[in-house]
Amino acid sequence: MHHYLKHAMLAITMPALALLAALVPSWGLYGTLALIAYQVAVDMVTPRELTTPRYRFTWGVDALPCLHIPASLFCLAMLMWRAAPGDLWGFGQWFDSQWGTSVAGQADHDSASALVATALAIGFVMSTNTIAAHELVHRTTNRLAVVIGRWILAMVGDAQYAITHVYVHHVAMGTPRDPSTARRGENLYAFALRSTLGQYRDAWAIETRRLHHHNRFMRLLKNKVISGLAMSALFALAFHAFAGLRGVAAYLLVAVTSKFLLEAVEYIQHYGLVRSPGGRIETRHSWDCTSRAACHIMFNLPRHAHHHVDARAPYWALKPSADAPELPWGYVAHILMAMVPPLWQRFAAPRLARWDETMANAAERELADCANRESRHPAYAGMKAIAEADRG
Amino acid sequence: MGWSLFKPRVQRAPSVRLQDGTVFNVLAGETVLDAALRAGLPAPHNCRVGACTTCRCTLVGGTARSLVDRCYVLTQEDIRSGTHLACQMRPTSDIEVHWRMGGPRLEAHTATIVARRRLTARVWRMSLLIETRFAALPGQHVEIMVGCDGYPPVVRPFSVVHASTGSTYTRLDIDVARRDNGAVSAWLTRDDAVGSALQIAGPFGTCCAEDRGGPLLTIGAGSGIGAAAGVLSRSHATRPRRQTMLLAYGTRTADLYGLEELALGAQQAGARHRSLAWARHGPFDTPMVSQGRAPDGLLEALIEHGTVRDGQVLLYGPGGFIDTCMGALTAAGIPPHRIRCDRYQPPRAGASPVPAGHAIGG
Repeated sequence: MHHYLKHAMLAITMPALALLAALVPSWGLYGTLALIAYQVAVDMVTPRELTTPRYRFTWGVDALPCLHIPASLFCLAMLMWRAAPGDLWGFGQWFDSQWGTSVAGQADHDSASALVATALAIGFVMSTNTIAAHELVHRTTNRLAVVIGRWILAMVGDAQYAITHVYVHHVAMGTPRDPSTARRGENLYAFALRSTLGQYRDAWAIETRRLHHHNRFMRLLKNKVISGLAMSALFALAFHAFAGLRGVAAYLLVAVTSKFLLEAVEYIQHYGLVRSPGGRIETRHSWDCTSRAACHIMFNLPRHAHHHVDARAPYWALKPSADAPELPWGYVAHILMAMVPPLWQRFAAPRLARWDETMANAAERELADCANRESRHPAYAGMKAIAEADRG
Repeated sequence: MGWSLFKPRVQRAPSVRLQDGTVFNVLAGETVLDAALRAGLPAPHNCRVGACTTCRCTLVGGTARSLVDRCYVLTQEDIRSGTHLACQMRPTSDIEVHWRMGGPRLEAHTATIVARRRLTARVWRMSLLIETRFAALPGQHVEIMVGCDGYPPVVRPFSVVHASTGSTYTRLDIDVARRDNGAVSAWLTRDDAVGSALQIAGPFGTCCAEDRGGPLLTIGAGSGIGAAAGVLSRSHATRPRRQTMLLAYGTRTADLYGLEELALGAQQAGARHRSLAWARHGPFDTPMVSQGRAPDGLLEALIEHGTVRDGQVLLYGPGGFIDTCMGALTAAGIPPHRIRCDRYQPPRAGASPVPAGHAIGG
């Protein structure tokens, strides 16, 4: 039973944290910190997660990512309630009457800082939307799964991800053509901007090419970048209808927070790794992570090497890859480190040097040398020396 | 595995017949690629999500449905002509498919383009690095498959010009003549080709120098000059006492290449070598050539070189040119077992994958 429930934690924690953040915004932030601390603590005190259970009822784990639809709708409703003037839908009174509290009814709905705190906390938990949707949009053979995935993405304003992740990232990963592969020496903030812009550019190019034989009207109508933005605009309109421009601003903050955290995840998944364009995708081209908390919460996404080698494998069948480069701690710890660029470069440079020496093939070593030179970053200037010192 | 929300049901196991007669069945829930791999076939594939087009194949009989919208990666013309992605293809009846299997004769290796040098207006020398020992000799040919990043996976043979082997790697040089609409040649010779990976199989063919004595004459036309010179270059390095001669034919003076480099190598090795080159010869496949007129200087060179009495002749070039030379060489009394040739055939228009046979220039 534990194996069925371990990936379902978000279905409970998402609405719980959203409720807390809406009712008492400062507690929402504490809750966010507690979730971060929980993940770091689990990663520190529990052994690596190396099991790949065989599920008898695969439909049980199959449907889990879909729970993000009700969970996310509840999160957005809570944000809307917080952003709206007065007690929207009488929710505060109802809550107080049910629980005998006086917290919800007295909520200060005019406070901008409280709204920002709520939006940040909800943006944090809703950043997992992309992870659930990632699982669904990979099921390209099932239209329903892709549609559900796109709506989960649209809730955080990023439906284009369904196109670029499958048709660009999985083909071009590790090469300069992929905007979602972080380059050596590139800091997280620059990467997040470059990656986001690159994804939209690629998604637009793919849709234009796909629809070029249609007339102009159909090109616009069938364009999934446009329809994805329109789906997100529906949520923004709902926020405007119930909570005015404050609501729209709060929704945008959720979308930006979520997108930034997604980019942070992508940043650590392939940071600095190189692959010959068109070459075979191998496990060595992704950083693998066997952190227990991250694997459970993020639908085994940290078993990233296996995911790239066989993208059709459902998340519960992903295995840790012994021959992939490994991140030593959990995703949260690495993301926190990546937020401090000098710290991240100090962490990553020697590991990349080892990758170059022990995992890369000859062509990749040449590409890696080139990447080191192009990084213009002191951490990569002497990488060969570091690797040799490590070996010595 | 239990019931799943996301797994379509297929009740029967339709068969797939390939162009070479191979037949395999596709079980419930499988794609054509899954079934081919289960059957032990060396089916080309990479991403398995319908994005990289490595498993591209053509449906020529029966019906199948694509599990993804093929418009994402294929053109309308491709789709109309029955092109599918095997990893996303599910038969709805027994089907017949044209699908070039990867490296059925020999294992395919991944090679990386490490250098690109322009030799003439249309010929580039490409250096490939292979992560293994690859026992190729100059004059043999390798099959190169490219199928990445929007280019269809197609196979073309190219002659080996130079091969150097280390303990764990092999560096091969091939000469590529760029054709205006050549899928492979344009991809190989593009400006940012260095760093790109491709699949390589081989080596194939026996059009290379034998180690026995006697003079060695190589004749190259167009991009075949590189292989003809490469064979001699190796001979100079390994058997400097062997008498060698190169006859190079180009349409224009600017199409002749590699002669100075060869002469320098021969001089350094102390080899007895002579190169003769003719330009303004006219296109190699014109009726003038194919009607049997020997290329300029060939007969004179044979007599001077002594190849008529003993020795080996190797030819590299377009089919019409080779036919003409073969006629002249046979008429001059050289027994067929001392002549080896590699006929460069241009790929058929629209042919993909290319049938077996030696075509160069993609």
